Amino acid sequence: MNKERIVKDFKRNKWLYALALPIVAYYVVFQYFPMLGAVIAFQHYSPMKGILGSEWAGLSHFVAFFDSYYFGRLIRNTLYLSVYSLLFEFSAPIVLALFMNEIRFRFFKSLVQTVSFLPYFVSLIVVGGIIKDLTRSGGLINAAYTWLTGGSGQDMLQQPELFRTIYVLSEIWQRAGWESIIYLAALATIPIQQYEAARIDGASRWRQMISITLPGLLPTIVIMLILRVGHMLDIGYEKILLLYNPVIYDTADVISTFVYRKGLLDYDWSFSSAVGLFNSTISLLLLLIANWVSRKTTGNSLW
Amino acid sequence: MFAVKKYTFLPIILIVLLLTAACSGTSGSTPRNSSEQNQAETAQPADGQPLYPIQTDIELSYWLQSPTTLKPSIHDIPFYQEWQKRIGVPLRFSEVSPAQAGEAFSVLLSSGNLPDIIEYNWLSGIPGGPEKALKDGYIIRLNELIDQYAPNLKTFLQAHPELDKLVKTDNGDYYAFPFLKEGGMTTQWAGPVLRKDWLEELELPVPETIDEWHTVLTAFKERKGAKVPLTFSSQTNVLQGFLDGAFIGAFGVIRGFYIDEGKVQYGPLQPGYKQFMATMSNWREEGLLDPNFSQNDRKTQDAHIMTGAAGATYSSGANIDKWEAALQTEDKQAAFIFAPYPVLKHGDTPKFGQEAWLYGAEGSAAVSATSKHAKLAVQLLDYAYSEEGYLLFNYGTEGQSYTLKNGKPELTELITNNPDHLSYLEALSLYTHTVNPGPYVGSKELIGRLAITNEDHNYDRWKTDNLKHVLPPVSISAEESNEYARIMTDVNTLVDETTLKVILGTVPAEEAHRDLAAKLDALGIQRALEIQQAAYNRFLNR
Repeated sequence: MNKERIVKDFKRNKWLYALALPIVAYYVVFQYFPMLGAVIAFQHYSPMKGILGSEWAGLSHFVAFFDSYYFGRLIRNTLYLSVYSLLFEFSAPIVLALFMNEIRFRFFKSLVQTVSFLPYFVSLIVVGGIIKDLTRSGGLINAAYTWLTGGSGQDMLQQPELFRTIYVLSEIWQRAGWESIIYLAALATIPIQQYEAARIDGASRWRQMISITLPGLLPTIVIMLILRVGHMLDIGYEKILLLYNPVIYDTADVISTFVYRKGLLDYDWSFSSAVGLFNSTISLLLLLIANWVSRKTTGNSLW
Repeated sequence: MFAVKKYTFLPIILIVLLLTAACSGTSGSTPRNSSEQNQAETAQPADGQPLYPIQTDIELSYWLQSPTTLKPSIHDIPFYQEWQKRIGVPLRFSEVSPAQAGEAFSVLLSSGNLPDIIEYNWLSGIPGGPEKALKDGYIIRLNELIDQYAPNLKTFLQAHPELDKLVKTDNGDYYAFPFLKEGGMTTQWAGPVLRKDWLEELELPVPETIDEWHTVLTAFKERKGAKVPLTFSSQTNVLQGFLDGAFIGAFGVIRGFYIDEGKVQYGPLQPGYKQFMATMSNWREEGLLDPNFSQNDRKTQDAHIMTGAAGATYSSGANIDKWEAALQTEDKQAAFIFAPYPVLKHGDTPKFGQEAWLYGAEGSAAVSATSKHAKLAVQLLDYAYSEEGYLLFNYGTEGQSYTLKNGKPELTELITNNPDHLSYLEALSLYTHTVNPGPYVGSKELIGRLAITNEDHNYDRWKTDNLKHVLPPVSISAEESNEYARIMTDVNTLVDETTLKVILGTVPAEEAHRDLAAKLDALGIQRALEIQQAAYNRFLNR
């Protein structure tokens, strides 16, 4: 592209560029500029001295984190929770969308949709309260669980082995309906003629779902998956904060809750930033890998 | 079809979002508006004695924890209106809820934009304590300012050298206008308590030893149908019920550092800690200890007591008075009796219990290093330590919340029998500063007169040897504070986790304690002990 063409392009599309300007400015001011603050991960940051006046610490905060007693556990918990979420919580909306697509009765379909969306709009604090109440000894879910397994009826959020299940299931309950919207939208774009042709050929509804609906949905699924992989390590720590307690740190304490405790409760801002930066770097790497794998195997990718 | 290529802008957004997650909480310090800087800070007569109200237009900003939830804003609280009127300096308050104070304080510090006066626990509320806060430049050393502009505090501290020793750092720096207590019920107010009517019905004596407690709690469970005979509130800490030394103290240890014969010890390392965990685990197993004790907030504790699900707990005397009054509206017989802190053998003196030092640094007001009006701040804070200020902070306004009878203040009906049906504690929190920590001297007589004291509510029964063993307000040196803080965060996580696991029956005490001791060593507990010992030695030499 030569200079002339760029100038020409600008002239022709000046209003489009003007339209884009506020968005670009937004990203520069609110997203890129604050990124400079990550530099405190390499400092002994003191707010009163500011970023420019604080002493440099090199990589010492990173080294301290890698050496720290809880490093192994944090990584393990973070990976477990994110892999479980990816396996179960990511597939739930797809399944939900597929089945919702099969419902022929209109009224029932919109009813199911509305009901499954609803939990998404409940504030996380309230969700946390609901989960706590239902799982404490004497709570509804706890009672059912105790009846099924013959357990002791102890508060379920005090049993480390149950935390991951509770986390993932409640995540599905809250998000599956909402996240199925995008798949439902994608389903609507599959040409109806394909189904008609399949029916003439004698395909059953199950066959149609496997051979037409699912392939039609695949590009969307792949994109959502790549996006999801990038977010793998920042699992919803707000919810964990609301639910966890020292008894279940064994399974519930993840990198982001550790960052929260270090940074906000222990005032170790630099250390906390270092851990957060480490987390983000891994996330970015995962995203790149997922994108690369996807491009090689399915031809779908973000860029 | 879904057009994938149109998504090319997504990765950029994504990367940006991911990376910014790491960058929160940073902001350069903005210089304060200095337009008011040149205004004279007046009202300073020649002899250095400020005359209240100070005549000034300067408004000072003041950060504190909300004293009450009864009013939407602190400006609606009569005490704070009256105080500003008396000192003559308008204050702009920023209040945070006490439950979130730690986080809010952290955000406040990291913003670098500090109000003129900050009321907080400068000793245990901030890693590294006052020496680090001074060194990092959050707050200023007050020695010279107190000398010149705070004659009331100066006189008070000169008259009380034992307090003077507590409110300074090892270097002799004053860092805040202290919350001081006169002893009595201002320092000792909580302990174990049981349902007296149940004990009488079951013909059991007030338990003194751990074994007797076991008998009583078993009887509460079996014969009174108590679902959780012994319950606790765990508001602010999962082990709150044990933190002051109730039950755990019987085994000669506490959850934190303490002193035995001049040497600093760490409770969880001691054999007594294992016994404590094992005993509580048994109690939980037998259904005597509330299995949810680490999750209960105050309301759950209230509910357990009010419904008769629990017959024993650990609480402040004021709370017990409240429960008793509420229970008696339904059941005339219902009553509570204070029990001594449990021991192992009859005749032992309890080693630990709730008893605070006369100064613990909570609610103490420091002047920020960025304040342009440090002198004015010191002058206005000094008012509380004058005779008038003492009356205002403890008794409120004359003619409103108290009257003078024979030269002695008497609370009026506004407090004792409030027309809006407020309890005396609630009424006091509106018209006085008494029930909340703050930069003033808390009156022992006032608190002593308000609480119900009789044979059953006998605060002397809660006496322990606590102050001989618990650490005084020592200060960790600024150099060691980072190291100490890092060791202790991991240590605290580990201890809470292990203790709860044992009590809740996930792991046996024997094994867990061996494991705990080894891990604590690996985390550097010996170094933390050294640092505490050095701090304690420096304290003794003050």
